[in-house]
Formats: sequence, C-alpha cells, structure tokens
Amino acid sequence: MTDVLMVLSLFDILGIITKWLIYIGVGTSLGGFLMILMNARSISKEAGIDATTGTGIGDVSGYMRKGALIGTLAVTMNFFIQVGSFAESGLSGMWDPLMTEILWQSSVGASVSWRITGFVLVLAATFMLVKRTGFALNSALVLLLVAALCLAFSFTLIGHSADMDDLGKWLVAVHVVAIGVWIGSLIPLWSMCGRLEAQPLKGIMELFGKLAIFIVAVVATTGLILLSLLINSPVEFIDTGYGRAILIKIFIISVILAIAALHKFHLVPKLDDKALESGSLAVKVNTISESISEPISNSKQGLAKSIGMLKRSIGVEIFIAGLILTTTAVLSSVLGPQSLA
Amino acid sequence: MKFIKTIVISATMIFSSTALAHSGLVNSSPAKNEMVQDSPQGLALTFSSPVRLVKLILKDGGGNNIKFGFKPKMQSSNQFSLDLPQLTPSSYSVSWMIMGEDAHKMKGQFNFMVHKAMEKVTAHDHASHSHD
Repeated sequence: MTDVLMVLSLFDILGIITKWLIYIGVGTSLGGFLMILMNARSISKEAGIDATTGTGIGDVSGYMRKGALIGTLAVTMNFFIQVGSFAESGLSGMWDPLMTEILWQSSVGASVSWRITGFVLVLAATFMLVKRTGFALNSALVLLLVAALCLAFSFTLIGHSADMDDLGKWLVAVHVVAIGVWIGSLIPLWSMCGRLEAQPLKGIMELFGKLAIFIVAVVATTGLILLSLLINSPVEFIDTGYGRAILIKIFIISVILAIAALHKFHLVPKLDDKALESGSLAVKVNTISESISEPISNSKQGLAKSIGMLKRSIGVEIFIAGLILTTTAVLSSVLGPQSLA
Repeated sequence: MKFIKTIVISATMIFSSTALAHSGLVNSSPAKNEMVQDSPQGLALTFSSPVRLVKLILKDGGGNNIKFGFKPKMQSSNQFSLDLPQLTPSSYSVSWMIMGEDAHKMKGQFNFMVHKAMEKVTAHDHASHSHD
C-alpha cells in the first residue's frame, strides 16, 4: 500500500483529471457533430423534430463550444503536467524549459498540436453555425469533419497505439471516434427528455437508436481487432494487469450496451404507446361524451412518467460512460511501463 | 481529489502488472550489480526499443552526484554511450529516466561497484567468490 502511495504523485492525479477532461472535450465535439448532422440534414425534422423546442443547432453549438473550450484548456494543462512529471522538480518543474522542449519535439507535442487544432476548428464552426442553412452551415460541417479527423489522428501518436503499425493506429482512431460520437451524444439526448413532446422525442430517439447500431458495431469490431493485436494469449486476461483492465472495461461496456438496448426496445417504444394511448383515450372519451380531463391527465402523467424513466435511464448511461472514460484515463496512466532494470 | 486518489490506488492494486512490453533497459555496461576491478571507461545503456534518454544520474556510495556531462538528447535511440570520469573505489548507483515512443515515462535504477585496481585477492575471497 505504501509502495502504491509512493507511485502516485500530484502530477499523476492531475494528469488523470486532465486526460479525462480531454476525453470529455473530444466526446462533446464528436457527439455534437452527430447531433448537428442529424439536425442539418433535416432527418430530425422529418421525424417531427422542431428546432425551436430548444434542441436545435443553437443549443448543440453551445454544448460543443463548452466542450471544445474544456478540451483546449485540458490539453494545454495536460502538456505542462507531463513536463512537470518528467522534470521531477515540484510544481515549478511544469515550466522547465529543457523538458518543455523535449516533450514539445516528441509525439506528445505533436498530439497537443493536432488536438488544439481540432478544438479550435470546433470553436470556429460553432460560431459559424448561427446561420442554420446555406453556405455557412456547409462550411461549418466541413470544419467539423476536419476537426474530427484532427482529434482522431492525435490518438494515433501517443499511448499504446504508438507502438502499433499503421493498421493498429487507425483502428484506435476509428474506435475513439465511434466511442466519442456515442458518449458525446448522450447529454444532448438527455436534455431533450422533458423539453420535447413525446412524438418528436420518440422520433429523435429512434433515429439515434438506428445510428447507434452502426456506431456500436464499429466500436465492437475495432475493439475486437485491437484486442487480437494486443493480446497474444487468452491467459493474459487473467495473468496481466492489462488483461484484467480489458475485462473490466468489457464488463462496463456490456452494462452500457444493456441500457442502450433497454432504451431502444422498451423505453422509447413506450413513449409511442403512451402517446397513442393518450390520443385514443381522448377520442374515445370524446365520443361517449364523458369527462376527458381525468383520463387525459392520467395518460399525460403516464407519458411524463415514461419520459422521466427514459431521462433517468440516459442519466445512468451518462454516469456509466463517465466511468468508462475514468477507467480508461486511470488505466492508461497507472498501467504505464514498469522498470525492467 | 480524495475520491480520484482512491480510484487510482485501487486500480494500481488491481492492475499492478505491466500492460504491454514497453521499452525497458535490456543491457548495461557496467552491468547491474557488476563488480569492476578498475574505473570503467564509460557507461553504456541498451534499451529494448528507441527511446529518449531524459535523465541519467550517477551517484557514489556517499550519495554524491558524479558529473559526467550527460545532456538529454531530442533524438530517440536504442543505445546510449557516455564517457565516465575516473571513479574511485565505491558502490555506485545509476538512475535513468526515458520517454518511450508512446510518450510514457519510465524510470529505473541499478548499482555497480568499483574495486581498487590490481587489488590482491586473498584465498579466502577466492573461496567466497566460487560460491557465487
């Protein structure tokens, strides 16, 4: 225990916190991009989504802007924290000129450059998204696409992917993008619950459900191929820390997939049932000239309950997603190389 | 902060073994725990893959730093060789820090001992060495 405490330093902890915030920034940028694509291509409108209900591009832009700002700050702080970690001369070591130069000229510096470029492009795009149609919107979408590529590429430069061949590096990049898009979409979806009517909410949730199948397939496929590249033998899942870490991550991801399935096959369809039920009830009670206020209010209560359940469930999903990012940030830091000397 | 520290400590305890075969020191001259009969001409380190040697500290038995002109290099390499000054008989520790290609920090330390040159070895010493 004492050894473990000695292993940890302030820089380790700050490094993990900032790494986690970088993931949040990347996820927010990528997830927001998906939301804007859904909105911009009017798919959501076909599904009955009204952009004026508070789920339009303006809201998503604000969400992405915050995420990109957090990401930019976190990337900058993380770099100087790493400088301090290498300098090993206390907090003042964060400004050590020699270590700053060494890290800047390494893959760390390159990843910082790509990430800041990506986040700056996201910020620029969010300001262009004030106009929701035409050239400004299309330009913003192109910027966001370039930003996504920059952020994805940054993940090929550092971490375990740096030890892999080109295939492995790009598998990591695609894996990160897919997870980022998925996790980054959760907060906008969560905020829609209670702000959208049942039908448009169901429309957007169903559309995301369809996209999520593809996203999950990409996450799973790239993840499995990466596993086959990184793990030489199944025994490693038990014998090595890395294997045990992977098992825990797979378990947490299974939980989040189960929740996603619950949304898709139970909670979202329930919205429709309740909505139809309220409609049919209203018709029924109108024709027989009964008081409709009570059944309708009951059905509205039922609908509100369903939306509340969906919102809570997405909230749990967000918490678990945060746990996945935390696990990744902690393990990629703690499971660093050990001395062979 | 305390919560994060708890998570990190827990993770460290669960996953205490190495994730992947990261770059490590595979060979050195003087070697780990080697007893050399005279002051070595230089210090050579060989790593399993190209790394940036960020720090290299040599200390004698009294904990004094021995200056030998090491400067961190921007280029990655598997092998590093440095000239050493005349070392007096003592035990020495070498502490190194590298940055791997994956940007991970890695540290290590090993000791070696310098005996007096041309030291007469007694029969008793021979006997004790033969048991090693």
